[in-house]
Amino acid sequence: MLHNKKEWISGYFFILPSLILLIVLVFYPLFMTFIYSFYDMSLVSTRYLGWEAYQKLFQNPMFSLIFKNSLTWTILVVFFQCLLGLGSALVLKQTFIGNTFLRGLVILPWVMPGVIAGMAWRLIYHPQLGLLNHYLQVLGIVDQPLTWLSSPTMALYAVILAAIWKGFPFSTIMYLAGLQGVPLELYEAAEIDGANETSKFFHVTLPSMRPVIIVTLLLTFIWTFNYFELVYVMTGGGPAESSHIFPTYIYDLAFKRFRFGDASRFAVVDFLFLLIFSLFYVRLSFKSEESA
Amino acid sequence: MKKQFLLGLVLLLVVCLSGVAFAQEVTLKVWLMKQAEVELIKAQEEALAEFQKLYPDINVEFTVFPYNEYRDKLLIAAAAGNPPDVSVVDQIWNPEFAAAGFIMPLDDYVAQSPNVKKEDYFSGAWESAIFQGKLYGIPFDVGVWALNYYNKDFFRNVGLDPEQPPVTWDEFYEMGSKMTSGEQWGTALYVGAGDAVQCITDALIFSNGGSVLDQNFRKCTLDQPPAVEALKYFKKLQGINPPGEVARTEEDSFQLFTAGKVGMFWYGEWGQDTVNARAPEMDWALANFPRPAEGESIGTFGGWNMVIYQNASQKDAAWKFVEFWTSKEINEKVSSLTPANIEAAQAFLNQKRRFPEIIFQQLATALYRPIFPRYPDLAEIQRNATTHILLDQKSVEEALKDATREIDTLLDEYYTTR
Repeated sequence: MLHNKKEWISGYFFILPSLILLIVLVFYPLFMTFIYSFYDMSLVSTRYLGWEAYQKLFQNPMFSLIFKNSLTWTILVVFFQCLLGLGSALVLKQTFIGNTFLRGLVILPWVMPGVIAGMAWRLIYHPQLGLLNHYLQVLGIVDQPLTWLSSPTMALYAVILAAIWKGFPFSTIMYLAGLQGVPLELYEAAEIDGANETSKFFHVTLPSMRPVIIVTLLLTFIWTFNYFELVYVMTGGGPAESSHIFPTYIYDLAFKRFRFGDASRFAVVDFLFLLIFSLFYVRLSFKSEESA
Repeated sequence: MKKQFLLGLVLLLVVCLSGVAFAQEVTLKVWLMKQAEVELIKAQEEALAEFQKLYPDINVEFTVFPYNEYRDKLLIAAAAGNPPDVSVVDQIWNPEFAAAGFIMPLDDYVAQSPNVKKEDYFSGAWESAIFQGKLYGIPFDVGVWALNYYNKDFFRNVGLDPEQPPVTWDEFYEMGSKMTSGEQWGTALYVGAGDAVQCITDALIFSNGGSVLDQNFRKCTLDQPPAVEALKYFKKLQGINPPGEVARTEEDSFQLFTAGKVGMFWYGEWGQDTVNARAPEMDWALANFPRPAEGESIGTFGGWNMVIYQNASQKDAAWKFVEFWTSKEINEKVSSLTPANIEAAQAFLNQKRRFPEIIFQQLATALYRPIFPRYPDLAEIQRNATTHILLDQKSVEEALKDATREIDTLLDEYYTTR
């Protein structure tokens, strides 16, 4: 018994370093963000507002804009990454000459640092020097160069396109791995039953890949919702704050304008939204797994 | 006998200890911006050696950061109560640091100093360090937004005399429209992410006799006729500039200029080396910032002030360093921008810049941006107004009226909650 207790204590000693790190680096800042969110706070003054602070937040027109932008951004990016990832995984699963080379090539956008990708896309969209406008003009699709990033209606979508390109290789790799895991016997059985390629995909491939797809969607959703670099480098949230999403606006509030209270409130909503979404999503997917 | 001996011993001890105290060395922590030029780093080291010769008991420890990290590092250190003893701060941070209680007023030191005199510095730079009647910094270096860089070939190609650059707003616009075709343009505006666009619109407003805030920095004056006219003119320049200006930074516009896409470009005097490096073949020149027909060409000041922190344990030693570092002889050598000391600036400009007289004249009349501890918020409101105007989302009057209302709210909020 005594021996056991000793072991029990030494066990805690072993996890202590990581526990301390977690407390100092994650829980404490998280807790303080909640506290700060009830204050009107800047470098030069601090004022307690209480729940009134959140009333102010929900009345702030920027809040609904940011929420709308974040949802548009996340849903479009995740949806197209999933589609593109699945498509490219199906292509790369085939055996053909240059397959390994192509697999290496496809991952390139994913391993590229976000800032560099953002700067490259800024150049591609450049109204005077950019490639995209050049080809659009050569092909006669437009006669005037389009100002992608300086139009409040287009800027966010221009970044969404870049973000789909930047992130889809992750989905590709996940789905490629998932595809390898589908038991061949299932295909054989389906063939014997007279299934064609389409029904094999919908009745064998997709159901077998369910767990991979669920996890990949969840991960890409959270990452995309909190993805900072591309928007920040390409538009800086502009023009006139029209393309801000949660992380870029929080950064601007906190570190450019030193409105820590406002920034904390946005961060708390961002956090709670992701938390509720994740819980809901995970529950839902486990439930349907049980029933399936 | 024993008593006397003891007394003697104690005396000896006291003398020894106080002797140690007199010779005790102090160490100053000084934060500066990181410099890329080898020459400049060498000059800083030499200057530091000279300082240590003058004050052997003061050790100086430099810590340098690149510009984009500098503000964050400084604020985090200051907010945590562990700032350096001395640092440089951007003029627009000076009031914020003062209001937050990070830095100390220097009026008493200046009053007693034989070396630091107000009239030795550009007045716009000196006044940028005054917050609520007290002086919180000594100007170190300066720059002026903006001068008109122009490509002489553009003038020749459209039959204009390259030795007669535009002086007034109308001339600038007319010459610019002559240069504008589908492929080339008169100038390239920018809205960007930093404070450059505010410097440009402020300069237009200043030149037109207006201001952003009233004299006491308590009320916004952007809805007054001088500012409205200035922004109307800025809007008009859209016609001689390549599309996409609201997403462009000053760097993007700079590239359009050095790539030979635009004939004229508004930027500070420190851009000369960049023009030469990127477009060594270009036949370029510099002219004053254009002025309205009935106005004066007034630019906007940028630059850095030296400040002493409240937490500094050795304030006198810190002041000695500030005094030394901003003196004419040293300032001239250790500054990468134009020195804030007028005499040093003249020597520096003559030696390192083309068109030194034009730059000096522009610096001598330049004005500082609004002095307000929450300047970053104010600047963001201004930028949004400028963007709305350029995107035709609001008329000039409407955008500036809205901005004035927002800025007034910001000012009220700040002054009533303090």
